[in-house]
Amino acid sequence: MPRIRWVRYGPDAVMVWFASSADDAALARGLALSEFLDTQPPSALKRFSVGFTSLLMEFDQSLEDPEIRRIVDSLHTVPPRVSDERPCVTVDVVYDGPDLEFVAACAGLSPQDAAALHASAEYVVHVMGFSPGFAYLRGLDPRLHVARLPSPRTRVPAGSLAVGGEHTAIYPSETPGGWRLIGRALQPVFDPSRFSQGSPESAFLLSPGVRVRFRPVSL
Amino acid sequence: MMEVPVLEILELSQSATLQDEGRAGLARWGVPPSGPMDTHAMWWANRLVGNPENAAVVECPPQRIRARVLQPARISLTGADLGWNVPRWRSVDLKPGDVLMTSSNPSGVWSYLAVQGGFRSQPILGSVSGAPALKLGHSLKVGMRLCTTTQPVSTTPSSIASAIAPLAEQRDYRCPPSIQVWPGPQWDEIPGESRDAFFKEPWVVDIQSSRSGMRLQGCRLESIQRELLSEPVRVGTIQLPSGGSPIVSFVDGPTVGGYPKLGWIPRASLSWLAQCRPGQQVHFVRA
Repeated sequence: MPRIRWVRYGPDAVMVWFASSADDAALARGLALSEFLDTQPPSALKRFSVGFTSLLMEFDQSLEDPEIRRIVDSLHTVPPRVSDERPCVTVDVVYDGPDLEFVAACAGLSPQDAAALHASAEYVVHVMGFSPGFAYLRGLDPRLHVARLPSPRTRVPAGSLAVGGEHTAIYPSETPGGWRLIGRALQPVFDPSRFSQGSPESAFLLSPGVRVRFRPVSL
Repeated sequence: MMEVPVLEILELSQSATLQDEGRAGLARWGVPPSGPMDTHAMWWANRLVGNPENAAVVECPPQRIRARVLQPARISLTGADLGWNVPRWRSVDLKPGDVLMTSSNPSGVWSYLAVQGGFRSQPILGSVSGAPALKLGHSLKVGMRLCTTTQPVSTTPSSIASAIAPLAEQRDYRCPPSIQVWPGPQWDEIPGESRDAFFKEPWVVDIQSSRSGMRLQGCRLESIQRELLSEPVRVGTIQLPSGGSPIVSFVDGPTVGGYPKLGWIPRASLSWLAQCRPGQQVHFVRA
C-alpha cells in the first residue's frame, strides 16, 4: 500500500491522498476507507468525501496535528475491498445520442459497433460529483476515450449517456455539460422523492463502488 | 403543528430561495451543502423573531420584490440593504394586507427575511434550501404563498417588545474586514511569488458571482503546472485555475474539482465575502 500523505485543509479538516493514480487499486482503497469511516468513524469526524485518489475529512472542531496524525495513521491498517462484493446495476439505454457518430469515427468504428463496444464493458462508479447523482464510471474502452467538447453545451438533457476523457456517465438532471452524448438512459439516476434520512442512497441509482452494465434497447 | 400561509409573492424580478441549514453529508453523491450564503445574517434574522438559528428563511439577491402579508406576523430583515420599506436588523410586526417591498440596493448582496415560526416547505433531500443552478429545493415564484409552521402572532403584537440586533452585529458590507484564509491542500506547491501576491494585492469581485462561486480579478497568479485528479472541495475553498484568477467556492459549488486549491476561508469570513458586490475590493489575510 502506498504511503498515505496528508495536509491540513483549514483548522478542522484534512485532505488525505491514498494513491498516486486513479486506477483499480485507488478505487478499492477509496471504497475501503469509506466503509471504514462509515462503520468506525473517529470520534470528531463530522463528514467525509472521496475523490479519485484523495479523501477529505471534516471534523466538528479544530484538531491539533498529533490528533490528525493519529486519525490518518488508523487508515493505514484498513484492507482494500475486493470487487465482487459490490452490487451491480443494469441500466437500459438507447444509443441515439447526437455525438455517437463522432465518437464512433474517432474509434474507427460504425455507430452500431461503437455502441456495442460501449455496452460490452462492465463499469464501476469511481467518484460522484459535478452535479447531484453524476457518477464518473471507470472501465471505458480506450478506443472510446475522446476529448470533451471545446465549448460545453449550455443544456444537456437529463438522462443523457455521455463519454468524456476516460470516463462514461449519465447526466442525472438537465445541466450544462461538455461530454460527448452517445445515448440516453431509460430510468432516472437521481430521484429526490425516494430520499429518506435513514437511507440517503435511495435517491441515487448509483453510489461509489457500484458496478454498472448498460443494456441496449431499441425504440 | 398548524401550517398557515403568511406571505404571498406579488413580484419578483430575479430568483430568490428558501434556505435552512442545508444538506450536509451528501457530498459523496455529488450534492453540495447549500444553505445560506451569509450565515451571520441568517442567524440574526432568526434570533430576532425567536426562531432556532437554522429555521428556514427567504434569501434574496438584489432585485425588485414585493410580497403581501396574509396573517399577522412578526418578521425580521437582515443582510444586504435592498431598500426594504421596513427597518432591518430588528423584529417588525406586520398585519394582513401590509406589503413588503424593495427599492434600491446601496450595500451588500444577500438579504434575509425570517418569520416567527420559520417558513415551511417540503424538504428535498432533507432540506428546503434552494439551489437554483442545480434545480434543487425551493425557488420562489410570483403567486407563491409561503407558509409558516405555527400560528403566527395573532394578539396585540405591540405588547411584546421588539428585538433589535446589537449595533456591532448590524454589518456595513461596504467596509468588510480582511478575509481570513487558511492554506489549502496545494498551498505548498503554489509558487512563492503567487502566495505573497495573493495576500499583498487587492482583489476585485467579478461580475459573474453566484451561489456556486465567486471569481476574483486582480494580478495574474502563477499556478501549478501539473494536472490534478478531481478532489473533494470544501465550501470556502480558493481555487487557482491556470488562467491565474482565483475562484472561491460557495455553498452550491461543485463537490469535487481539479483546480489547485490555494486556500480556504472559514464560514465567519465567508459570510463577509459573500456580501461583497461586483467591483468591490477585498483583501485577504492569513488566519
